[in-house]
Amino acid sequence: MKNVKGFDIQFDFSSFKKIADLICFEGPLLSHYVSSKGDDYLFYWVDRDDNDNRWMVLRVSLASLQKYMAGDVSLLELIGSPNDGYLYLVDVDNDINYHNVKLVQPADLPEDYLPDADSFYVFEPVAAEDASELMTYELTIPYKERGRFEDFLQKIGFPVSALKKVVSRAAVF
Amino acid sequence: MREQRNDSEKEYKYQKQIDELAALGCQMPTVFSPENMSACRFAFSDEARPNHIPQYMNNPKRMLQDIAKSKASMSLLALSCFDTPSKAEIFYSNLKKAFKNISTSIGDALSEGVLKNEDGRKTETANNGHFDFYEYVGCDLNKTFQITKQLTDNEERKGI
Repeated sequence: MKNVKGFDIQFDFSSFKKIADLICFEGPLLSHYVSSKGDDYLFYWVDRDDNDNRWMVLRVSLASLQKYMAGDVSLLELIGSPNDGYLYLVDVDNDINYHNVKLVQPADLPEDYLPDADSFYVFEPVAAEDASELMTYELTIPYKERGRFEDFLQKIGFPVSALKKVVSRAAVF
Repeated sequence: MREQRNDSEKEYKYQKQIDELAALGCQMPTVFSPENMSACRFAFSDEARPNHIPQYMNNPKRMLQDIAKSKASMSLLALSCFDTPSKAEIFYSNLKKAFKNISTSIGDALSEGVLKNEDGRKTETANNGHFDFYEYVGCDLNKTFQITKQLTDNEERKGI
């Protein structure tokens, strides 16, 4: 396995919950996780040897992840600009022990740890069985349509008051 | 609990493991006879790397870990196959765009052969050509499948 320049750190991934495997073939290769703080992370497989699989872990915004899933941006664009400006590399052995965690700058990644420029999403995601309680949906309603949307919600019995705060905040922008 | 066998009463090659997962609530998928269909799989051209072994049999600890996390999958006791070389190559090409080192994990070549009814049973073929193949006792695709095409160039194979 390649030596990659970075800082050795301790990072506890055990509290992360899997939302879905976005790409898998005989096991996951790209997975979406959410941290206990509600941040979205990608686990991206990059390398292996006889003892370990190496994963790149990076925080992403939900909006950029949705753009990738919709085919609007490539995996390279998504991974090449992590939210924090840095990412993690972690080796996972056959007993699922995480070790050799490094904090890495994207510029220090080996070329073969990055996807191609045309790595657009053409796969089928597989939701984690227990992910439904962690999933959220974002819906963008034009401000001028909010009245009609609220009428619709009332018709289907959804508590409009629960959305008022969000609708108001969005109106500020 | 014994997983219900097909009508020919042939035993699966990894019946013990299938029974173990079935006892834990994993469902065996609906399977069909392959009817002498041509099929292909990804394989390693390096003879030192074993081919045609399901993921859980290649790494039994992985099955134990997945069981411990209640995330075991019957599919990992089967062999991933494609119904045509062209669909397999498209899938491989898409994986390769996303994971430049994918050849070190799933293979660097395409192997082809014929799946006979006495070899095992297959799941339904997906739109992308993929299906799982559950081998019967006595099936050994190393004897019937042959590598027909290299999927990576020489430089990449040096790293495998």
